[in-house]
Amino acid sequence: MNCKEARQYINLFLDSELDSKTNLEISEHLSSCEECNTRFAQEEMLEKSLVSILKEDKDPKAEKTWEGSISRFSHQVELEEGTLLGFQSLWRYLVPVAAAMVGIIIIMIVYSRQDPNALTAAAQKCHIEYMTDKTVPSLESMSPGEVSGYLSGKFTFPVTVSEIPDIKSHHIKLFGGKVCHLNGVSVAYVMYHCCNAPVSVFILNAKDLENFSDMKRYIAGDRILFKNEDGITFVAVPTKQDTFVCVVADHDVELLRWVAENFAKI
Amino acid sequence: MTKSNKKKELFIELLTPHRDILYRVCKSLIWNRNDIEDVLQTAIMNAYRSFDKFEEGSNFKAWMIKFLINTVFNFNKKYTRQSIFETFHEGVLDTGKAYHDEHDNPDMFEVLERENVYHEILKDPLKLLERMDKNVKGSLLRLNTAERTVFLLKAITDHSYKEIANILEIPVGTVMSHLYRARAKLRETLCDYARESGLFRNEEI
Repeated sequence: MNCKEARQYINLFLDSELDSKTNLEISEHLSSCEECNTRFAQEEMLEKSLVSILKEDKDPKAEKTWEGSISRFSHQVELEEGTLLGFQSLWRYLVPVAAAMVGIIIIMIVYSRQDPNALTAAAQKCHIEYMTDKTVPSLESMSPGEVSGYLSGKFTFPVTVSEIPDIKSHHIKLFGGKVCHLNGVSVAYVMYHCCNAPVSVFILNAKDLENFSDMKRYIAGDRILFKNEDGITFVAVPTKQDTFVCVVADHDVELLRWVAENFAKI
Repeated sequence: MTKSNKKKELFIELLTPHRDILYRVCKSLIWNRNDIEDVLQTAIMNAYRSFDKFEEGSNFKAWMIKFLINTVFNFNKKYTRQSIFETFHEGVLDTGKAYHDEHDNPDMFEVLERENVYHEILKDPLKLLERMDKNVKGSLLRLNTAERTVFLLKAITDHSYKEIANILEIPVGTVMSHLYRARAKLRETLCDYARESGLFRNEEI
């Protein structure tokens, strides 16, 4: 590299903007050429002096101006994010409330799902159908023996329909029987009448109780009581024949127990 | 401490080491000195709003100066009917012509080379500069906006050509030619002053 070439690169060289190859070539030239070396140093010196004057000494206003703009910036951020913060604190309340609501909805869904699985619910639904004449017995008969005979052939478990004596001058009259399905479980449905109100008796295999969510909890007990808003009462008792008897009627519990006990006795 | 507070503190923490440079860049490029505080605040706020987009590990100083330069130009625009951006980018677009001019006319540094007074200045720059004192800054007025901006960015921030090109969103070659012409023009001003003042008269051969 000669002097003319080297001096073309003087700015780039002093700004350290050259590729390493050219940079090396210039360095080599400078070490061998006294004149160029001096010139490069002079240019560097001039540029530095010029820049240092143009950059000027520390401005006494600099500190104050900087602090001013920073504090104004800070204030502006607080103002802008203050409104955001308002939303954030709103979120702080909204999130738990929303979570609680979701929780309640889930619980409600779980419970409402449990309902159709419950024997009480299924039996009462069936009873209401009987009450409103939507369900009629397959075999209409006043004779317990006839209904027993009809139902026994249809189940793997023994079904014995009992004669129910009057209680407190209430005459409980057998009306008939049919096979019905509660949550897909086949049960013997025996229908009675008492004081013009229907009385439903469901006989189901003790093994099938597993299919009903509420029965699992009550298996150990000897009776189940449940009363819904319409005054329909539900009573369930186990029998000696490994079956379960559920009585549903719009009557007082005493009458339902009486019916259930007559079945349990067998 | 809230999340936004932490973000603000971190931002100010990153900002503080560059306060001098930011202030100098702002002061040297703004037309109205009364705008400095406003410009700094606006630039800082604009950068803060985009802080989420800042890639950690990249050059914070260059990133911040880009916001500052844009804010400064926007403020300067208030004082001119012609947009400063237009003049600036016209200068950028003119680079082809500028190269052409340089090709036709003798190289600016070659012209300097032929001036005896320039060689005298080179021997003892401080002798002249101290004498010029405040007039040195006046020499910046001989530069156009693009040349002055590039020259001051290089002088104050000591960024590389590439970083300056990124800040101003112009090609590196353009940065180079602006800087080249700025330096040559400044040296011509020094020569003019030296001749007028007769400072090196005794030494002139």
